[in-house]
Amino acid sequence: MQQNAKRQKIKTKKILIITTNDISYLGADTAGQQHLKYSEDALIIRVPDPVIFPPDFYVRTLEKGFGGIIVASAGDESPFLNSHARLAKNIDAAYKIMNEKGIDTKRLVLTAICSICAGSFIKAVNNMTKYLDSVHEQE
Amino acid sequence: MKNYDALVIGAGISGIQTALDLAEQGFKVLMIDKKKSTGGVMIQLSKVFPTLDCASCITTPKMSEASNHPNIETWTLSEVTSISENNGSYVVNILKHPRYVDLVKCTGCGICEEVCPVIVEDEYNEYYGIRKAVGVPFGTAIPQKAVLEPEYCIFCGACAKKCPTQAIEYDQEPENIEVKVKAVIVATGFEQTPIKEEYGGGRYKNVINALTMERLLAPTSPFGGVFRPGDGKNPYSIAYIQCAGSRDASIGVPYCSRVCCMFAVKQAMLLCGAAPLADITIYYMDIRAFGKRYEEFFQEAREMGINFVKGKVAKIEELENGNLKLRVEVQEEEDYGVKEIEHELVVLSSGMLPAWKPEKVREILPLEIHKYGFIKSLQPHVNPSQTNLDGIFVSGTAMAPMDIVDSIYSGSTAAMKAALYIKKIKE
Amino acid sequence: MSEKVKIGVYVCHCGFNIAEMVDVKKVAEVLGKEEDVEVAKDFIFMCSDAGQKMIENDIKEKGINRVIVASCSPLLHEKTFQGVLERAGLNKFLFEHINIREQVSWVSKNKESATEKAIRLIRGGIAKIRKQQALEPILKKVTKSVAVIGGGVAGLISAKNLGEMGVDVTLIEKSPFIGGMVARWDKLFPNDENAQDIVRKLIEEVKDNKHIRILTNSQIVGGKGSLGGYSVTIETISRGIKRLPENIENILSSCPIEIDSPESFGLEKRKIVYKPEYICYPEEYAIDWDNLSDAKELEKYKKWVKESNLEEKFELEKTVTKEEINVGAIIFATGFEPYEPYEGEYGWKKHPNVVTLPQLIEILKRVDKNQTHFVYNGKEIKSVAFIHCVGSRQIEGEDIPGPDGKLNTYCSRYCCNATIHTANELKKLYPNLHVYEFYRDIRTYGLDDEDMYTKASKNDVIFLRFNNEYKPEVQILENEKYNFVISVKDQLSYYEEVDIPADMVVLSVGMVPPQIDDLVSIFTVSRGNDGFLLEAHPKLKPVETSSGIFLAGTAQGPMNASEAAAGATAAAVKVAAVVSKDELALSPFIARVDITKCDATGKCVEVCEYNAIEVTEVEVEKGKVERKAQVNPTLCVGGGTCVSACPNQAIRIVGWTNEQIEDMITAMIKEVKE
Repeated sequence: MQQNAKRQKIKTKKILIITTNDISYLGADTAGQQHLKYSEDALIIRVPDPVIFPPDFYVRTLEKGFGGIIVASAGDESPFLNSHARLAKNIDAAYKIMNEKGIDTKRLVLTAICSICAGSFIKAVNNMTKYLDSVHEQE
Repeated sequence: MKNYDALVIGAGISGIQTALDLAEQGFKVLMIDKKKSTGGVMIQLSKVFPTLDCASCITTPKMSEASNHPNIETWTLSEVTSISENNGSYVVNILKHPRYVDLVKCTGCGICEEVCPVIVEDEYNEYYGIRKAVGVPFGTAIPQKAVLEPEYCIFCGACAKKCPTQAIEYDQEPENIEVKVKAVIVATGFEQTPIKEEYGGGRYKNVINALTMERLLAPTSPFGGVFRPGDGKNPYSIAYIQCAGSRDASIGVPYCSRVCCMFAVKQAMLLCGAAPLADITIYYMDIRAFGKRYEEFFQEAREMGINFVKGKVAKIEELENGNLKLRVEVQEEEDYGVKEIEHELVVLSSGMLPAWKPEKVREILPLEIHKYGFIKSLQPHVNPSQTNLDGIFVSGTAMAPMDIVDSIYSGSTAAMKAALYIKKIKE
Repeated sequence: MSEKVKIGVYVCHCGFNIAEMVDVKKVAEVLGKEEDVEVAKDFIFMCSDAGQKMIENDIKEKGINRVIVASCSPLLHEKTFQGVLERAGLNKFLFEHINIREQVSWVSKNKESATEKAIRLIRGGIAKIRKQQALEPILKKVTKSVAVIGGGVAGLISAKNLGEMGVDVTLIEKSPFIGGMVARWDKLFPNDENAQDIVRKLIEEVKDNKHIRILTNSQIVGGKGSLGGYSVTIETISRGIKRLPENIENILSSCPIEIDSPESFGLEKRKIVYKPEYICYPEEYAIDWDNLSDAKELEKYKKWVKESNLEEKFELEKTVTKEEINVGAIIFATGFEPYEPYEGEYGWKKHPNVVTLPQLIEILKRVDKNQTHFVYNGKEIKSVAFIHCVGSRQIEGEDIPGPDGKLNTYCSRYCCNATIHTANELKKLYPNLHVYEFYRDIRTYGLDDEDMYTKASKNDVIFLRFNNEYKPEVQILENEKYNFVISVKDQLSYYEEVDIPADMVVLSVGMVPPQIDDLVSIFTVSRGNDGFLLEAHPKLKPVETSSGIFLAGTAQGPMNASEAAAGATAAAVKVAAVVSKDELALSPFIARVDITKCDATGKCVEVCEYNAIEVTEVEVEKGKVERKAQVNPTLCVGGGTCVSACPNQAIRIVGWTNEQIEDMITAMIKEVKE
């Protein structure tokens, strides 16, 4: 399986970052206010909560051509009760599908970003960028 | 005579906040300002501490909300000439200076500005930039309408000829308008302390006030960046002198102006980006970073390498090359005693004086004035906006030096108190 | 199908903020060629009146029916531009805000890729807005009453202002007495106003106002709802006094349970049945049940009550009553606590003459004012040393974190002034007393505060300035003339090491947030790194939180009494604006069921934490009834757990449908061609 994953072609180094309207989107804003730099390949979208996405959504997004996905949940700060736990279940289910399809699970990351967590936001993006760079070089 | 529930004098950030908070409760508000635009001093600032939000990004939504609010009427270029009490209401005379441009017809397209041949110094840029004798005051001004200034205008007629809506009206006259209001909120704001003699009294070109630096740092900077006004050079060594117009009984300002430490720290931080090669030194007595997240902001500045030197600057001397020689009583461990230190640009952290001078206030209202010239708050611990007169409230820096956050609190406080008063009068 | 989609794309320069890193002209040019895009323009300040007018005119004249603004964060200007749509007669939800400042220009290094990134993001926006439909806000009836939590001056001032406005207020105080911290102070800086008088007057006004109901010994233990309508469960504990015995003082002297009185900041002992000495309300004794929570202590108390034949007078156990109230808004005026030094911090707990500033104020209330000497613990105090910034302005690596592992990095704002004011007070009472202040920066920032500082210097208060790295060291002396010697490297005297003798060390302790975890979690209020409650924005929404709760006074961070009054009044005016309306317009972004796809599996009902969905009989077509999921629009918060739980993709968040987002993703990944 791992072998498969490594040979798999990743079209782009584009990263989709899914943030929450009220919390992690603001975390990304905070990074901006501090003028912290990160890869221009990282594209941010916002939704009320990533829990709206069923597991196969993530697989579809990777198949459309995104190199990686960072799901920036609001974690404990989420205004929606219990959403993080349910989101984590969805992500686990997505990993299962990815494994079945031979897609490297490192391309999907779930992390919690608070509204002022510029540092952890940058770290998550840089880690994914670094990872995609390394995969890219191996091609 | 037109009736309003409240008159707000001054459309700076605290006046706007007062107007909005009253209007949101359904009260009819008239807000006036003697300037061409609302937004007060805040609209001139580059970015604001401690969030480093761009100042106009915070100010313009509030300016815009006030100007679009159905319960708020805004008059610019207007000032109060008299206030008299009449059966529980106040009759106010307002002098509306002519704009020489029809507010309804003008679209703010900017053609008049293009064709006007007269170049004048731009007060929005603290007189460092230039503009024309007619035109929209600045990009984010509200109203976004042209003003013509007869003191500069040569009456060539170019603007009137080119104006697509025939909005130029040379024959406008000042108007005296009488209105009746139930409550008055004084939000007349502050002005900077003048540059004292020891620091050149305003004669040294490369000694500037902090508000000038705000303009140089702004995206709409008159020079397109931070350059020395004297010769346009990039300054490699910039000094901030704290308490340049405060905590100094010799100039009649013994009080602390409360914002200068923080704006100096903020400007120094912004200079790290705008003039990355410059050494920045802040000469201070005490760093007063007392507000929410201010101390953390100050510590971040220290970590960024901004040089904080405890010391009092006694005198500045201008050198031939435009540099400045500072005589400083330094109190640092490695460096103690009176030193002479050279810098290429000096920024004075000027203090705050009330904009509405006590003698002028007294011509209009028997308001009790604090010994330092601000309008006195009679119940500072419970009701800070209360003056000695029923129905007259004070908001923002008209009451005392304060920063933007405190001015906004103060604006809301005055609105609450005015609302209660108006409600009582109506019953 | 409705009218043709005509999208207007507006790209803001934000001065240089965006334009220096994103080629805004190119962005507009490329996007102008996109399908359904009618106009694409760039402008220096889209938020300015001119920018807004431009969009307004395009809507009116060019028939633009979907608007995208690419500028700063939607947090700043989404409302501004929605307002433009409204003024132009277009539904405000046909607007999409793309953030190309905080999330593009400010975080990018390469102009070409930043420009490409902006194009991709806006393309995403175009894809989303294309399927967007006009939405109407959900109207929520406003309950025209308010709950204020906390009976200190901030809570009292908020309640008073709202009460005078005619709004019904329930003031909820956890302890048996309202009055809060200010009630414990003596004279307030800078004008020496008597704190007791201020609080007394406030209490009078609040308790005489027919709109205000005061609940002491009460706490909110549950709550649900949102701005405009909450139902709140309040738990009230009995005061424990059935009938006050006439000779209460005598009776209490026999009471065996005594604790360090929190009212005197631990300086004195008091009985478990008590009433503070300072101004408070109600001025009736209460039983301190909190300090009887230990079973053994409670038994001891019961035994005493029984043995003293007081069963008719005192309750043996507390009784708890619960009630539910409905309010339209909630103000947190939960206050602060003084920082508790750690053992050994400047000699704390190592010597009885190391006291905190609040304790010194208590001590000075009790001294015999006729004495010409300052006597404490039976010994004359000849020299007092104040140490500033205790528990404030802590720096990593230089200070010891608290039990929670956190440093108090903030300035506590009130302490410089309070310390200098107290030093002056000491010098007034005892002109020969030596007074020293060890400080880092003197922050006497108020209009009259600097005068206090000048006066202190004139009064011969000696100031010594230290660097946080070299803190003053307090050494306790045995059997010597003085109790302490304090060594410091004084910056004001050439960084010489100086030794100051003192009989009393006063720690100017900062403010820390109180323990209110339960309350915070009931209403999901955010807290900042400092532990205080976090406002939505310090300037745009200074007393509002992102969850709709309002903040008054030191709940938000350190403030002095005057600042807390301003904060509390500001909170009141915002709440007054809410409850002056009959209806609030709520977000339309809630779950909606497509009944053609719904199979009534009930999965959505299972996962909904807000009980907002139920499966009921629905008339699907005329005369045909089937079981389908139904959403209650005022309970639904639009979180969307139901969306991914539905096996039939029958439930979506309006305005954020999965189909819209899939389209966005497809549009964003498309190559950007020159």
